[in-house]
Amino acid sequence: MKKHLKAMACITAATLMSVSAHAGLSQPAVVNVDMDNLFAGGDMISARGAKEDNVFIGCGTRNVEDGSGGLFSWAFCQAADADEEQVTCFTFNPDLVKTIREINDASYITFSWTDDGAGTLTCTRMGFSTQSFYLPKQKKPKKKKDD
Amino acid sequence: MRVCSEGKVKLGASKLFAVLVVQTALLLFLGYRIMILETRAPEAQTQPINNNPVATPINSNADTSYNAASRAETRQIIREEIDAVEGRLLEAIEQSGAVRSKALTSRPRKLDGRETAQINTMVENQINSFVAQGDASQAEMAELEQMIAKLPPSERIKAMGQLSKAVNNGQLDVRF
Repeated sequence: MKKHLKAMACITAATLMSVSAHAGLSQPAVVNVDMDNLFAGGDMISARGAKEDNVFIGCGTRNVEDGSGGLFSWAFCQAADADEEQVTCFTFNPDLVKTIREINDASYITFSWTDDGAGTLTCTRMGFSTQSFYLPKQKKPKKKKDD
Repeated sequence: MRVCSEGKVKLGASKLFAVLVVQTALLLFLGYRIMILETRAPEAQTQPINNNPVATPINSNADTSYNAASRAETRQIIREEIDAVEGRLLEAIEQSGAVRSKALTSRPRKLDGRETAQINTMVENQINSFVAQGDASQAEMAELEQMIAKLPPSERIKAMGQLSKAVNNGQLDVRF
């Protein structure tokens, strides 16, 4: 009986310690492509760490000289989720193109689009959020005995 | 682009022709002035004698000095006329040269309808080729993007629309 009590105490202590080692809000956002509401979102870290090989999310820009002294600038967002829903939209709106600068490695990305009915998708909204709860958990370093 | 360079050649040829016409006109003008001066020179030689019958007796030395002075004066006038014509010619040549160099360094002109149609066809063929193979490499996409960039803005959006359709209909697997 004493042995059982000791074991339970050890398990409880270990559980409490593990909770304290992983403190901090964690709210990963797995990639979701919603073809009904023309919306996609997800964080880069969850996408990269997804079990499924096809999952991804991202946005980018292209700036190409037009040969006449001008620049052809456009941006895109694309994503694929675990349900194999995939989307790619483009935008030529210069203000929207500029917003891509906000992305970083740990960003949550969200975007919306319009569909002309024939498959031409135009990005109408791009959003980026960089917050601690999208970052992977990091184990705290173990305390030394003399501390 | 070939049409563009032909256009420049035509422009250059027309400018050269204009310079040639100006040069010819100036040479004719110079010839005309020389002819007038030649006709006036004998008059200049005879006028003082005719107008001044009581002038100093004409001797061979005086006649020689007068003729020499007259010839020098005539040469001076001709030289001035030639200088003026040369100046005008140089100015005309410089202007035509400036036009030529400007034509070489200026921005390429906008595409005409035929060129736009040609690039549109190339873009369409390229997208169809990608669809046929099912995917496109980053290098192939870069080439396509450069082609699309040459199009007028409204045509670019149409071309990108074709690309969007191919990608979102699952016909073309690309990562930008």
